[in-house]
Amino acid sequence: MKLAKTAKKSDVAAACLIASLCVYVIVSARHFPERAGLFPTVIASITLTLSLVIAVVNFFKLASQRGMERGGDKPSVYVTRFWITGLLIVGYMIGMLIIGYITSTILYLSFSFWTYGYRNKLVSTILVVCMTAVVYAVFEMALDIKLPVGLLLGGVMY
Amino acid sequence: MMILQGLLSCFSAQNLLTALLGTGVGIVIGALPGLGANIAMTLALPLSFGRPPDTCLILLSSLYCGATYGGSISAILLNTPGTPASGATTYDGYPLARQGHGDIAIGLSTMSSFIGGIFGTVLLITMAPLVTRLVLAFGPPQSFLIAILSLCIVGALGENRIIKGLITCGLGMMFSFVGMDVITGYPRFSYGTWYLGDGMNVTAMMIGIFAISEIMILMESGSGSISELANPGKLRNVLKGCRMTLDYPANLVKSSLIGSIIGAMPALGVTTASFLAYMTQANTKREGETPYGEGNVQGVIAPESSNNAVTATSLIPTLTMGIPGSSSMAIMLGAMTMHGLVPGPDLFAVNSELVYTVMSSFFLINIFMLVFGVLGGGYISRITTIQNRLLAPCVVVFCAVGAFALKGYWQDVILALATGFLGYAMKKYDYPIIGFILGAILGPIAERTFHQSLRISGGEISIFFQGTISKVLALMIVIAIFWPGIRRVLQRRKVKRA
Repeated sequence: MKLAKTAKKSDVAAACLIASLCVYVIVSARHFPERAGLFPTVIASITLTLSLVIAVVNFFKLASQRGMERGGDKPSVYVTRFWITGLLIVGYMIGMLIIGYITSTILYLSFSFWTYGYRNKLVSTILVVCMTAVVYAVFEMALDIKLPVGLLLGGVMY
Repeated sequence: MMILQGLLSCFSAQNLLTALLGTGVGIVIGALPGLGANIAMTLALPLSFGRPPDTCLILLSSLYCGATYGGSISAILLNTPGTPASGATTYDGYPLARQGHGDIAIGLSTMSSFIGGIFGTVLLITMAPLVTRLVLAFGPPQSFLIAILSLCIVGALGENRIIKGLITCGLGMMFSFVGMDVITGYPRFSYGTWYLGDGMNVTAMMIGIFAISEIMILMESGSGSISELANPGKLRNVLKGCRMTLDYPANLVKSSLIGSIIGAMPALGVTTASFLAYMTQANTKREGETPYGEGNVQGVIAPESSNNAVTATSLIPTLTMGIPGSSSMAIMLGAMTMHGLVPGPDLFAVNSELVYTVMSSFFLINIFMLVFGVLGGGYISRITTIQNRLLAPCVVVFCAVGAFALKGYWQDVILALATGFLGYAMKKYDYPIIGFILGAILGPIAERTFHQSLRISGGEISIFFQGTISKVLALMIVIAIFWPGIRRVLQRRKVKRA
């Protein structure tokens, strides 16, 4: 069995996080009826063992790498872009549930195009309107699938 | 004789038009994330009232086939599988699109879907009774072993990521444990909420883990467009992709056969078939070949031929035994019942012409699918040349709406979002996401068949090793677990000899 030749602290952290999730599953499964708890216990135990193997192997690799030159850190612009994209997506998805599909989509698309540096107002406006209208027409009108109206506009969250 | 009569009935103007329309609409619905064959078929069901039964069943079949194929379009071009069955296609289809070969990838997917579909149809028409007998030999123990085999193959996929592959399978299975236990009905990890009690929505998870995570990576890297080349999609390239497909007959036959067999077995389903075919193919990688996951053309052919072979053979248990192998087939069964048709062995005797008409219509549907794919593939693949700063937000809108549309639950949108971040982390830490998805899909199947087997045997674990099929499957599991080691030893020997 091969693992990557170099290790990062985050590898150990990720393995430990998975291991703790497995422990949680095993402990919780003890309170289930016998049949309901058997499979989760078996699978979580196998996954726990494997994640501990990863954690231990990477830990020893890290120890042997100590003093070596660190490299491969991401430039800060990547981190900024990641956070911007993540926050926009989170904002849109939660916003859609609160203020409804139409309002949130118009706001999200306009703000995203602007944030990502697209400055052609005419194209942006056409795209925002067309995208919102096409998705609405396909889902709501053609397929009769109700899109979120939003809590503020009287939608029901169930 | 009956086959010929059935084929002739397909060519009535009404049936032809229905198949054409159904395939086209199915492709469009399949390409939209979150929507799939089930929604298309459910929406079409009321339209089929008052129509002859053969037209109704042809409409549903064409929507089913079209949607299964359509899912691959968004999977290849946007890394957003339109349907769960196209999840495996993203692995090599999307890298091809990023390399500027989206049109070729569409050609590959179209031709392999066509060949898989025709392969399954031939099996359906000529060997339905024989396949039924074979399928009856597969009980819960064999289904359990197939599920475990699929999971073990995932581990063997990445040479340097065996442990990580298995961990992601385990993680996916743990997600599948959320909800009501399939045997006892006990709510597990639901914390008193009805949403979690219902279980995690795999489609929403796939939207998140494939599409949203990819959007984050695309926007983080600041790349101009999905395609690295400003290569407008061309019909010529789509046809090139179609021709390239024919260079891999062994892969086509093997994957179509996997799809046909899995399709005929109730419970395993189209998604399992496409992932199993992909992983089986990925494990046969030769030296010097493009690695799987980096744009290997065979990585598109395998899942696509397999999932379209399923569409035909999944009719076998539905027609011959009245057992729907999937929710799409349950809708089909419902439509048959509405028209007074009783599925089972008698159906072939009493309504033979109708049965053969529906079976033969799969030939037509697959031909229409090929035509739509070839003619439209070049145009649709141009989407990969649009600037990411314009395309990415639009894809996010489709993802959010797709996740919501499936059941109308806002929690599915949150699930897609959460799995999006999880997928991003898994890609960054080099954990293969294929294992996670397959674990989530196969977890409930493995658990249910495991308990069913033990119930049959009275708790005797030896049931998993009784009979030739079980022994062969158990042996294949052992080989799959040790396959990376075996492959390395074989490669070393080869190098030494050279």
